[in-house]
Amino acid sequence: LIDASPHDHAETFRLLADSLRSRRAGLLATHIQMMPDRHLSLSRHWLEQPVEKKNIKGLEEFSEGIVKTAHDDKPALLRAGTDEKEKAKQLLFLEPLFPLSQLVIAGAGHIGQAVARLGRLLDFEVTVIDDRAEYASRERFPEADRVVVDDVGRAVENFPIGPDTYIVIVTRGHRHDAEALRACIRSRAAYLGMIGSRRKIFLMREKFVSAHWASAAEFDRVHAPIGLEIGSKTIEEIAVSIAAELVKVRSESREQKATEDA
Amino acid sequence: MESRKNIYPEVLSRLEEKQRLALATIIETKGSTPQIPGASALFSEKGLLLGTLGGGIVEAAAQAKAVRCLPDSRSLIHDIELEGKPSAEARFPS
Repeated sequence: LIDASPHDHAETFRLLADSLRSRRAGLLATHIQMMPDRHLSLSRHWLEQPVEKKNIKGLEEFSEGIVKTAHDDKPALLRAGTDEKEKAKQLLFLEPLFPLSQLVIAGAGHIGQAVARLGRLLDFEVTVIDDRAEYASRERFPEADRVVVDDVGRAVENFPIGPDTYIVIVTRGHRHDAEALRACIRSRAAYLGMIGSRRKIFLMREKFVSAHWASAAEFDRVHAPIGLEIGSKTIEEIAVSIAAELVKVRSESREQKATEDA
Repeated sequence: MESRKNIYPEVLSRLEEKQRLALATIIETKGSTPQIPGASALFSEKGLLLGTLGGGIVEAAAQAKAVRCLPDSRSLIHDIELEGKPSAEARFPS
C-alpha cells in the first residue's frame, strides 16, 4: 500500500503517538476503499487497547475481525463484502502496536554509553541514570530517550518499573551498584543485571541477605555477573554480551506471554 | 507480540515539514519473502526518509512507485512479484 497523502492522517498518528508514549498499546486500522475510478480512498483509525466491539465506530462491518486481531496481536488484512468482487473493494489493514520495552541503565560510564547505543538499536526505550551531570548528559547519550541526573538509588526507585522494564546496573563502583540494586531488587522488572566479579557479587549477596534487603532467592534472580558468556574483554564486547542477554530475556518473556495468551 | 519499533511517531514529526510524502506499508505477503506485514517506510521525492520495507527489490520498487504517485497524491496498492524460483530442490534432490 502506498499512502500518497499521509498528511490527511496526522490526527490519527498523533493519537497513536500519545498512547504509546503513555505506554498504552492499540491497533492502527487503515481502511482502504477502491473507488469506481480505481482511485483509493484511505482512512486511518487508532483503536486503543483493550479493543471492544462496542468501541469500534465507523468500521462496524469489520468488528469481529478487529476484536480477533486485537487479541492475536498479529497484523491482519480483512476483506468486507459478500462476494469476491465486493471483497476486493474494501480492505482493512490492522497493525497491533505496542510501547517499546524500557531499558534503564544505572551508570553513565563507558559501558553505560555502549549499552545505551545498542539498546536503542534493539528497539528499547532507553533511560540513563547517573548522579554526575557531566557524565549523564545529552551530548554523551544522544540515543537515550531520557537522561536523569540524580542519586542513583533514588532515581531507580522513582522509575515506574513494570513487567516490561529491563535494568542494567553498571555504575562506577560497588556502593552505587548496591544502592541501585537495592532500589529495584523486589520490583516486577523483567530483567535485573549487575556488573561485577563473582567475588563482589558473592559478598553483595551475603550483605543483602543478612540485612534482609532481599531473600537469597530474590538475589539469585539478578543476572550477575552480567551478560552472556562470549569471552568479552573490551567495553564494546561487554556491551554486546549485555545486549545479547537483554534480547534473550525479552524474547523468552514474549514467547511465554504468547503461550499464556493462547 | 512484535518487538519492532514502528515509525509512525516519527512520521508524525516529519509531517510538519512542508514537503510531499508517501507512506508505504506492506499489507500482505505470499510465500517466503523477507518482508513482514506492517513493515513501513516513508518516502519523499528524494527517496527513503525513514523505516524500511526489508530492503532489496521490494523496497526499490515501492520507492519508484511512491515517488511517482507523489505529484498528484494518488494512493495505490501495488503488487510486487519476486522473481526467481526456489532452487533448493534442484540442488539437493531427495
